[in-house]
Amino acid sequence: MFCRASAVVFLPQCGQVRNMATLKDITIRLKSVKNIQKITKSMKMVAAAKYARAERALKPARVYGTGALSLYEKADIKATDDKNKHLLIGVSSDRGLCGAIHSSVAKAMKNEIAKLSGAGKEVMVVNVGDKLRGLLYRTHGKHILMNCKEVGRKPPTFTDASAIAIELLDSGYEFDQGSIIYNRFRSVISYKTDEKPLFSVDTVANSENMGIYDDIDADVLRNYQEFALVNIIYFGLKESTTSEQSARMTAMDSASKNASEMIDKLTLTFNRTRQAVITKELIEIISGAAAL
Amino acid sequence: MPPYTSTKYRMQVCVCARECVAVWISAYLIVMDVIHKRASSKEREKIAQRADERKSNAECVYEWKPPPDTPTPLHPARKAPCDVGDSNKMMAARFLLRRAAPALRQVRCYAEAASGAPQMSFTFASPNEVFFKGVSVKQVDVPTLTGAFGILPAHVPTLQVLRPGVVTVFSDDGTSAKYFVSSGSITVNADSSVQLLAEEAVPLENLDLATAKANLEKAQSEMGSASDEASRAEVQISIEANEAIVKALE
Repeated sequence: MFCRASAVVFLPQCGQVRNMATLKDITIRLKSVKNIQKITKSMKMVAAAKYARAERALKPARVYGTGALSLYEKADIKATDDKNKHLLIGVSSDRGLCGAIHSSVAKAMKNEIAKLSGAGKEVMVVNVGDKLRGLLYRTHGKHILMNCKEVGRKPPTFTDASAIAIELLDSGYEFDQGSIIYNRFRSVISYKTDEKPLFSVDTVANSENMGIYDDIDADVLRNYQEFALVNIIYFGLKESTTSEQSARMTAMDSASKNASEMIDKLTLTFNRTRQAVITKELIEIISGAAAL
Repeated sequence: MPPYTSTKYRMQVCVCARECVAVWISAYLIVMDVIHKRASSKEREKIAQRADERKSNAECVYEWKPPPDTPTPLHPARKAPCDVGDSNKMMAARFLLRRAAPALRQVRCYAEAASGAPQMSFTFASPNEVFFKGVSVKQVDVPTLTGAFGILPAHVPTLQVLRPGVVTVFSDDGTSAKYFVSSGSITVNADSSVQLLAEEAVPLENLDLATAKANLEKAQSEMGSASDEASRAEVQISIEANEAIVKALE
């Protein structure tokens, strides 16, 4: 896809001489850049369509997600400082060409891991999306608990979120608190890497403000917490896909614009080279005729 | 100028001026009277309205009656445009507060309903659809694992998990809407906000009784053939859900 025609370098014995690019080289280069422009343009269209669909689905998902998080905000649940087991869920996707989506989440996760490890806590990481795994496994491989693949091809559903949550709960890692790091969608051209808290059943049960909620037994609370975990993961997935599609759209748009610019410049060079070749031939003919 | 003409002229001017002033004063009084009459009729309407409201809202059992007719000293210029009774009501209307106390017939008045009660901010959503967002409703009935109960504003804070069943929402204008929910959670916070998050929720009209009955029979027949714990639990859940749908639709 990214074939590049390199300029012909001719190295005679006496020294290094570089020829001016011949017409053929410029033609090859021009053709390849035109192909690239077509591809990025069509990728932009596809991303725009997916973004429109994702944004429409985000509206109810946002209400749902903020409803699920409202308990933690209103009851002001905080984990005590002596809890040691942390969990980080990073939400991203499998596909690239979307700007800084994956790297911003990976950067935030690396900062968190460094901070928590520095404070002596145990941190485990769940990667949703193959790109995150690629960014993290070299340096923080021993913190990775779980990787999720095949994310980003189709829009995420509640079933996906519940599958992730089931695997997480089955993995046996008893975390006390944690956070989910995702890209919050702000507008078509901007998103922000955000963090939302997760708590375990024990932390919620022992939190001070929980006393005002009455008629809660352990079973009900556990069910409630598991459902809340799925809801938060679902919310993170939905926001993330919308940000990713909008970022891909802008990235492909700027790529198409750059390609157009390159095509213009190359066309000018091509014309100039063509005229130079013609002039050279003319000179040769005329000087040959004059020598007779 | 001969002196008598100037004085005569001045007197004539004075007489003219006095007549003008008299005419002007009477005109002003007529105009003000008309305005007052219109205002008084409006005020009378307002009083009637307020009395009606009070009767319908609170349990107050008093009636405002206009004070007995007392002849008030009237300006001679006012006699023409309005009659005595009108002007009485007009004055009484204007001095409502001062005259209300002695004019009250009844003394008893029940207390009003608690006006400072917090409104319930109700949010009902499923992952794909939002039914209510921060709306103020009167009551919500929910089926939970520990039993069905209704939630009114200023309910005690609680967290509950839903079971398959019907959620009924009674809005402020008296209409009720029913939805079938498969499962989910409900949170009632201290500030009287309620978040009902359902995994799947459909309005009851969209469900078909015949299909539900067929599914129920199929699930019940599968119960016998279920082998291990997980599939038995799945069949059990399916039976419960279908039973709830059938019960809701009948």
